[in-house]
Amino acid sequence: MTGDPSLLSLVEAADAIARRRLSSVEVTQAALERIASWQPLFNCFIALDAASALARAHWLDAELAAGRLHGPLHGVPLAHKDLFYRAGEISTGGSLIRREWRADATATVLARLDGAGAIQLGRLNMSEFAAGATGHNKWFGDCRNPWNPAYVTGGSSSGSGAAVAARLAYGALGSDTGGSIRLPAAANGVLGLKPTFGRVSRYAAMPRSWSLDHVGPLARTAGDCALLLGVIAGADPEDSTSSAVPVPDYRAGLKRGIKGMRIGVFGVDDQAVDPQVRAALDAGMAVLQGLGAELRPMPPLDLARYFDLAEIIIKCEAATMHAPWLRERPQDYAVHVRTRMEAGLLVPATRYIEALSLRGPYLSRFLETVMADLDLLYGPSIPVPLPTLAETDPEAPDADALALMARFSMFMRPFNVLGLPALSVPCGFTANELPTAFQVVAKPFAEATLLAVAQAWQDATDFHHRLPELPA
Amino acid sequence: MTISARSVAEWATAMQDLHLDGDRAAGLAAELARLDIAVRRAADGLDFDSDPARFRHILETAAQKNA
Repeated sequence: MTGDPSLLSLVEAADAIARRRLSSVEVTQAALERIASWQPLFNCFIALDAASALARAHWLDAELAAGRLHGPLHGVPLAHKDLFYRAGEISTGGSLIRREWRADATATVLARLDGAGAIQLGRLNMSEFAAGATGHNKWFGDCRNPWNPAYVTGGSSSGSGAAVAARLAYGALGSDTGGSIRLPAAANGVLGLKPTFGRVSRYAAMPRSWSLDHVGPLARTAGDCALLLGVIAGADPEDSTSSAVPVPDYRAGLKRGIKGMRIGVFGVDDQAVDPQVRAALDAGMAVLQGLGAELRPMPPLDLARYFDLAEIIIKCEAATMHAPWLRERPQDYAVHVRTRMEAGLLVPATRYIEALSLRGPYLSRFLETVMADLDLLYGPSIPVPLPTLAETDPEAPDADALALMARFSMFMRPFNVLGLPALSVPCGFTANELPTAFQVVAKPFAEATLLAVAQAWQDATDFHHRLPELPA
Repeated sequence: MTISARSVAEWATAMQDLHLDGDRAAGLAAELARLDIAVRRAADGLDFDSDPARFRHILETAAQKNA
């Protein structure tokens, strides 16, 4: 094969390796060369494991030569947010406190990717302890947007979004407690899928909030997402919150089309969504309608109701985990990370349990009313054009920055509270030449529906083929 | 009853061994009051048998219905 293999999609790379048109060593070396060029400016990685990645690539090539294909990701280099544990190895969680901490267990999702033949290139940058929507990191340096290094990547899976967009890895795992997969996906111009609560094991993934954490993939194409989700989804005896609902063949359903699909367009007021983002959303609606979807206007969602529940739950659960460090090492947190948790130490337990207890009734009502006659919901991911890193410095926030950050994740958190699957899909660029995206939300365990929409969208548009360029 | 900065500071010290300065206690008091009111009002609709574990059951039941 000719050309840079890093520019292939994950599915194309896996296919080329399986058919022995490319070796795993070739694609891994290409990824490492690309990382060497991009890392100094964009800081996507906290740690690179080049030697072990290449060693595994050599071994997988030898295995394939011997007729042993290890799975659908055989020889494909990936990289993941630095909160998925691997026994005996460091997992920082983007924090100073865990800078040298070594895990004693391996995340189920990493074990499943290993079993499918994947290679891990390294550990990706992230917001400290998965707390932060922009990608700033006081301890490891800010991750920078591949489309323009002055701009935010979104967080907290900042490196996952940036690395996939820059073609440094064919796909990445992230975690999403209040938008942390979908925000960096939207900000960097890639797909980001937060699955249904329980669809993917969280075992040995650093928690931020046990009740709201979700693990999922960021990738370039619908096919790539489907492949990754198919590998990591399914019940896990190590995670009591994982579900035994059967895992479908996500790739088989990709091409089913969206003709007749009933899509509710959630109403948003002009103050919530910037006109540039709205224009991209409107253009996206026209494309989906042209593909045969039936679009139905919906009243605005009561976002504040879900936001407050999420606040209480995240603060209480995070504060519980962090309580010893909050007392003994407060100086070892970025101020904005520490202060976001402190209220959780002071909320009455009854209020926290009330918030948890409200999720069920809210979900029932949502499914019986908003989603009753719909297959999907359609709306914004990030409702504003991306800001710069300087404009949103969390260590020196001004009133404008705080107001902007509050808007950043307003369309994300409701679906963590409700546990519904949600996918951010790139749909254009704003005037600052940074990506923007729409978000689609489906019924419980209907990830295949989301992926079918993304496939139809990518068949009809070319945003997923556009490529950020390394500044001269 | 309002949540005062002083009551927050005293509560934090007594219950969590956390020592807050006056400004921080005042900020937390406002934050706690807002969240408390929002969730308390919403929880008025909860019945006696409400159970957080129902949430997962509802997700999985919906999946069966949609299959």
